[in-house]
Amino acid sequence: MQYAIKIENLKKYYGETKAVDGISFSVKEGEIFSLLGPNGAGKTTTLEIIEGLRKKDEGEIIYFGKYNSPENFYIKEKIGVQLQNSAFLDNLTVYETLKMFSGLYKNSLDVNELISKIFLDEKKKARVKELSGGQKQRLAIAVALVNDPAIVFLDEPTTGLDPQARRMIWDLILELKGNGKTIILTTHYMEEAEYLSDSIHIIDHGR
Amino acid sequence: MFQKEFNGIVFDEKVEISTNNIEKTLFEIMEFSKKNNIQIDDIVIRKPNLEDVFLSLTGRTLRNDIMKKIFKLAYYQFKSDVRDFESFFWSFVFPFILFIILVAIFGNTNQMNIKDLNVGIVYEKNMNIISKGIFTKTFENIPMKKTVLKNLDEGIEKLKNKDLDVVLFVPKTTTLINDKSPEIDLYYVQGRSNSDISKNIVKVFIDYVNIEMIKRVKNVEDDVIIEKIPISTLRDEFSYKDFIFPGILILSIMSVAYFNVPFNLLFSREKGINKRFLLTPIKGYTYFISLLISSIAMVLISSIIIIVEGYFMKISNKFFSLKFILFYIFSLIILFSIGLIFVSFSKKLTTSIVFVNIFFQVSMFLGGLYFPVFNIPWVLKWFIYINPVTYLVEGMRRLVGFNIAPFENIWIYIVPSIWFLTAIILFSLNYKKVLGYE
Repeated sequence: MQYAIKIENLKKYYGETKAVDGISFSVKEGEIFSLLGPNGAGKTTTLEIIEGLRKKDEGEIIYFGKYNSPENFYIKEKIGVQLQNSAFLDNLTVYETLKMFSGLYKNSLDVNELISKIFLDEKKKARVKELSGGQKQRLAIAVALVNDPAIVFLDEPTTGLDPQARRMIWDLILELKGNGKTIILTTHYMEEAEYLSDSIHIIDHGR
Repeated sequence: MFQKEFNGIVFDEKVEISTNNIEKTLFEIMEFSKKNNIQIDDIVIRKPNLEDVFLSLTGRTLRNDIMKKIFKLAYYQFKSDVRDFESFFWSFVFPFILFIILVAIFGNTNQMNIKDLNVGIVYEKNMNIISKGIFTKTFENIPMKKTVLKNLDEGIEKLKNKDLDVVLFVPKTTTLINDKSPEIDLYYVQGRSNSDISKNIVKVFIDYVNIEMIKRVKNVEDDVIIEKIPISTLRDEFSYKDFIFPGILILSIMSVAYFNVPFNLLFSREKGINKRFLLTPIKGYTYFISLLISSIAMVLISSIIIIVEGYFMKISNKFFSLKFILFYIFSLIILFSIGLIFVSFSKKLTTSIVFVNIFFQVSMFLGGLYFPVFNIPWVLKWFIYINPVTYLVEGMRRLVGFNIAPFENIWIYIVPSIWFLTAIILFSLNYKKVLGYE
């Protein structure tokens, strides 16, 4: 079994604070992997180091068994990321936003199909600033999927959503798994991790 | 490997080679692949198309998709900016309207051509033909548009409607035979500047008529000639339109360079928009360059609007010169670099909005965009001398003949260049902080 991502002894310090303090875990290809923990435990920091947004202080990350730098464009082509607080250009429409991002990748999915997949057909021509919280979250997930990634990172995809919208996103995540994608998500809901995940890593105080 | 041997462009599993000699190159490829044990799936030969020609000329690959990505991002950034009400208003609408307003308020008195002034002349019926002849001959020399009217009422009516600026009424009693000095009535509208000026000009001619009459009555020697008095065409002295045009042009660059560029950068950092772009396969500078391109596009559109507006207002031809265009580009680079200073310094969007607004207003007024500013106390004067806007607008004005500021030409380039260098140094020191995430 190949690992999509393997992390060993990852550390990140901000002065005296140990944001991430020696985390190790492996994510198998095709599974849903959850980082579960309370707010401020270091979930997002860990994820952002893996995604390449922050630099690690110590430790090792191996992508697809051979690459070790997230700066590599090959990795960037292969991962899709939904950030915790996603912001897009407010005055672009849903369609334009996805079109813009799809233009930045070598491979990209059909934007119209993607919009149907996240049930935003009606909002296709609506500007981003007109969307509700749940709709914005779905757009963020769509942007994460636009390059047909092998690994999808979802940072608290259901936080702040009503039960119905949460259900919708759960279904979407399971469908992605069905398509053979590896999914790494963070959450602080125990039942969410339990319902979705194949593996769970509990994280607290950066460990 | 291929790249070294054939000077070709390599794509994932494809190589593109340009050649003048197909057979020779084909042979070489075959030999090369045999030697290195490379299997070739397919070879396609085609004639160069326009893109190939372009590429060979510019030496760049458009397929080297960084450029494509930059322009794609710039396109969407531009779209987003134009749709934003505030940036649309301040970049396009405000300079356009301000130009009209300023010219309407201050432009009138100075910007008139005497030939456009209208004088109406009324000769009362039954006038002595000889006298009429003399008047006609004299008034022919008035350098305004002349209309002979049938009666005074018509003249007064037209004066009220601004069709005429002044009405000259010559009563039938005006004759050169009487000793009694004749009276000519001059109707004008007090306070209407065109009318005031017309009155003064016409008065001069009435004086000449008086001389003519005195000549006749008193039998003065006949060699007094009606001289053509040199009335300077006011156009040559000071044209407010030409004075204000560079000011408006600088304003339009400023509002994009001082506001759009820094605020877009800060906003996208604060909201996490650039963070999202950093996750895609683009380099950090890609987003920055696309943002600059989008802002420059906005400035150009705004400037073109103002230039067309100026063209219809009949600004001086000297503005449509290569020198002026080059100086415009110089100003654009300087002002954009100053925008980057704001980004380098600011930590929070809200505080920098306040700071930039103050700096913008002060630079605008103390830069002399709308009126000359060199007669103010030293408390404020120092700012005029360090303000790059002062030099840029003065530079534009000197190109069309104004010379308002008390400094040598060379300073017009030195001071803005110092700002430019400062900006580049500051920005490169803070580049990572501004565009990065961590």
